[in-house]
Amino acid sequence: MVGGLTEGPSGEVPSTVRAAQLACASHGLPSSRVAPHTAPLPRAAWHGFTTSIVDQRLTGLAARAIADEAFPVSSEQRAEMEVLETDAAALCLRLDAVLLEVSALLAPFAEHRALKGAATAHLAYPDPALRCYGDVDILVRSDHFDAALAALIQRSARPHFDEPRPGFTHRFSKGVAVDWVGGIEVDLHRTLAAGPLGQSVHLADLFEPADTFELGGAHLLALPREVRFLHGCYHAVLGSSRPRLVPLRDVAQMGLDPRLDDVEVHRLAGSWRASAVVARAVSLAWETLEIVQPTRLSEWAASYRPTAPEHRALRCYTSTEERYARQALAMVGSIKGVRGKISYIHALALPSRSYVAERDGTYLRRWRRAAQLLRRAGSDR
Amino acid sequence: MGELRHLITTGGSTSSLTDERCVRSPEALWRRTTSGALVAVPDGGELLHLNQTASLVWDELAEPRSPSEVADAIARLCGRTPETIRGDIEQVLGQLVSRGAVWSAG
Repeated sequence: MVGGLTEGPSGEVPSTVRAAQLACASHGLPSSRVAPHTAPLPRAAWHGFTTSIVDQRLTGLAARAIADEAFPVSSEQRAEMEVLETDAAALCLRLDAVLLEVSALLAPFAEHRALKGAATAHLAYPDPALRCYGDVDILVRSDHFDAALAALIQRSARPHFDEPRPGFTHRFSKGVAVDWVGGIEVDLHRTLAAGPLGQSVHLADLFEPADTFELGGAHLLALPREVRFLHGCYHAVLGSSRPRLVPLRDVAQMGLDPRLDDVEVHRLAGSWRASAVVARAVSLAWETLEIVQPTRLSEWAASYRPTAPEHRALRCYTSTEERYARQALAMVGSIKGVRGKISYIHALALPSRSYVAERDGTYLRRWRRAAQLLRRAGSDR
Repeated sequence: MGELRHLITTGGSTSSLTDERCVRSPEALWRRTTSGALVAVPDGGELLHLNQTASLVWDELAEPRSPSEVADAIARLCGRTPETIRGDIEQVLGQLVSRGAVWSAG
């Protein structure tokens, strides 16, 4: 981040850098009308641009745009991009090796699926090299989750956080991130999102007959196509308060695939209470990447009006403030049964001593902080 | 998996390879780049950086091919005669075989 050329303090990106990012993010989409990049970026803007594309995992698309002469660069810039592309490809290969290792470790006792990263690169893009990624994501069946995490820890993986209470993750959380050997992050998922919208996903749908892709001689299981598309929508809309470009490209890439069954997408979205998520993701992808080819899904998304509860649920994720508190508050309503709700509230209000020590120091400080967060989050619900 | 080795084809080398068919190791992880390809050698922890020519060889080895067959295919792609590139092809093949990225298909 130099000279305010990437994101400023409020997260805004200078228009030249944003235009260059968009030119890369839309490269190869035949129906995108994003203005082509016409001249090499000046030195300072180039620095901001390269920093941002590494951060946004856009290196593969940027390198291809340059190679296709769709993104003019100087010879110095071309050489620099070659190094960045090689670094990104090397990281992806390391991640693929870890994915294979973890998948082989889990296979005997934990049903699992490869998510995002390698699965999206291999199944959604014409060339996996276009899609870069920065960690390993694996979905594990909920009742196999604790055993899977224990197996990873036995292999020296270190979870980023303790659970508030034993069993909390496999009942209520999205999953756990662990540090794997070599500084690789492995995200072990139980569902597709944190908070209430993760809780309403029908987990059995995720383990319907899988799609497969080949990696290093192994056939890895991935989510079925329509479930993958919904996950792409979740990632694009719920993953961060500001939608990132690669997840939007994923939505466009999958949404324009004629094999995508939109009837099945609607069925799943309806039963997961995720229609507003899909509508927002598709609308954002089509608008941001200026896609002029309508599909049945994009036309439906453009006319979709979220209900008040859907709007409230989305705000837990799209708000830039108190995201965690908003999601925690909304979670209570989405948990089935009084005992489940009590168990959830109890775990967060009275977590283990080690959990409190790591985060808040004392119980009193935790309760005070929670009260403040909940007051702020609840005040504008 | 940290080291990068550049496989650069140079003309005029002679071959010690027989015309035995070779194929990519199915366990090799690889990724195309705009300057060629990157191959992670199984178990070796080594990354091979293939230039454009070497990546053409790699592409051909998706199926079992003899050095002659690879040279013929690439000569057709490049508009050259097989004899003029066979030395380069065999040099690349030799390096890929010695590092375990390519196996004998025999």
